[in-house]
Amino acid sequence: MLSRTVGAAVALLLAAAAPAHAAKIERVSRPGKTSYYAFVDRAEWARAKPSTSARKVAKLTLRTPEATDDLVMVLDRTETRGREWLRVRLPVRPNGTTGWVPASVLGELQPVKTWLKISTKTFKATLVKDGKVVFRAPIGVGQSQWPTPRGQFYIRAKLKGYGSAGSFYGPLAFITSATSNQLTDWPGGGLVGVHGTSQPGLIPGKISHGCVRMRNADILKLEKLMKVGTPLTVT
Amino acid sequence: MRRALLMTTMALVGVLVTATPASAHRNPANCDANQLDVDLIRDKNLVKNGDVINYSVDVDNLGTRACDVSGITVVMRVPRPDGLPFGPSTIVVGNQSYAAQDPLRSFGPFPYTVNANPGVSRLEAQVIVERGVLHDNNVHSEVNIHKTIGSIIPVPGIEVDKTADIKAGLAPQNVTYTFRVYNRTAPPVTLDNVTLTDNLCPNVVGPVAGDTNPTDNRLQPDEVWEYRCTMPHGVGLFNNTATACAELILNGGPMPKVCDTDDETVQFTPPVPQAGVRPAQAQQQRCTLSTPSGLRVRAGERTTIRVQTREVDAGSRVTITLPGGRTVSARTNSKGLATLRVTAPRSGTARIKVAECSAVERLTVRQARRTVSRQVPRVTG
Repeated sequence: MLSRTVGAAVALLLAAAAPAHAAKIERVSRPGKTSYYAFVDRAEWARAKPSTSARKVAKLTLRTPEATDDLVMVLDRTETRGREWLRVRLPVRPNGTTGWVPASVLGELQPVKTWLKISTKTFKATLVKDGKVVFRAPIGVGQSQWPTPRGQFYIRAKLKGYGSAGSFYGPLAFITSATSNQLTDWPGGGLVGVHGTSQPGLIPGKISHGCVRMRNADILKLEKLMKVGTPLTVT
Repeated sequence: MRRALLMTTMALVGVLVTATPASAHRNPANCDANQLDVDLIRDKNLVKNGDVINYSVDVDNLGTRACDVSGITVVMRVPRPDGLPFGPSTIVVGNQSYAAQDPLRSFGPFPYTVNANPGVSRLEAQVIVERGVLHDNNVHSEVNIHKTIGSIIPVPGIEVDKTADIKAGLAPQNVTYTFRVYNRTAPPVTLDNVTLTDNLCPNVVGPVAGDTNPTDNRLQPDEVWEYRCTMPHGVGLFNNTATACAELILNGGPMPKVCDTDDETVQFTPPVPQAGVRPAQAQQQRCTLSTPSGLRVRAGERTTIRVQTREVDAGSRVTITLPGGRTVSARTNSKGLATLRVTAPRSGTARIKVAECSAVERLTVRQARRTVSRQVPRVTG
């Protein structure tokens, strides 16, 4: 069963992460080293505990609001009664929601070695790969009334080629699993993005409705270094 | 035609013309030959015990050179149980004369119920002309004629030949048995009501080939019917027997059913090779590959494929060739399992091969997941 998920790399993590009395829950992802995400194959309920009778947390979706194949970040794994369960980070409100899903409802775990870190204090975006910083750029973040939510998230989809109608967002936008805590009625549900801009002169600073803005050259450079499924930490 | 020739063999045993004392003259004046013709005819060619053969006798004295014949007696003898023409006799014509150019006269039918000894395949009847006088000269000749005619008792025959596609190896195995059924009847005659059974393999299917007219269930002499049956075998020695049977329907009734059997033995050894090496005594017939797991392969997505092989050495190389030509290899463990982690660069067909096998499995790499959209962002901005 272990090999279905992550293989030997996970096994090495277990010894360090799992205390003896809770050895059944194994940590899967380690941002900046190797993290894992998985595409959703079946729209099942995520539950508060690894049990089919546990409280429902949220239902997985096969497609994102932007019509891409939906995915979740995999945090932990365990086995109960011979069935493998995975704790995943869910792209739902409130931010930071996680839930347990049977491993069978997800596709095979996909490794990702990058980790995007956003600092709302220093207005810096940093991409770490294999433990090393490979990208750094100044950014704009949410204004005080619409702050960029802090916490652990992941990159959920990528939008590009949308033309002049979206030129405000620059040439490319990443969709994250984060949602604005203030703009709940925003079209699309108030998703937080990481994107380019038509107003690069405002960067760095608190300039947005909650999204992370970069200069267009930076977002295009980031695209080459970071793929969908990358964990995102906002501090 | 050939059968007709065989069955209608008529042998003129002898026409004996010997000198007799002179007491008459040649008649007609210009005649010079014995052209008395006696034919024995039967209404059935192929028979079995209990059938009735109706014999008849035709007599004429036609021919441009025919001489008168007088005082002839024609006797017919039916077959004896041993098949020879020495059974009970019947006087067909008694002390009669046949003048030259006398037309054909038929006598009979003379029924005979077949009652042959076991093993007798040919029955002969005979007609004999005795004590006739041929008016062919001043010194007349004596006329004696013997003719025989045969009927055939066919010997129905069937043959089954059974083979297994795997005769030995590592258990478990799905073995497909092939049965070939031949018509060995002599002379060649069609067989009816063919059946085929096997004492171990319960679901014999067929004929799957060789039956030129599948609707009549009749095995022609030149046909070879093929049946098949597949069954799983575990560890052990398995000797199973196929039995093919058929009937020969002749003159409205069946002859005794004939059957033939053929054995086939297969042997399979425990499935886990000791020390990762297959047993030396195992006769490896083929390399098999069970359906690999992890077949939901998508381009650009890392996928683990487990390939379960059988009848290959531990450590054998399993190779998957991805669309575009890139290959990924892994070796089988002591249980024949090889694990490959692949990321197909694009969609298409991937092929999995095991070192000792030809292409054994194919899988389709589907299109990559959609992670990029051209929709205008609706993020908070």
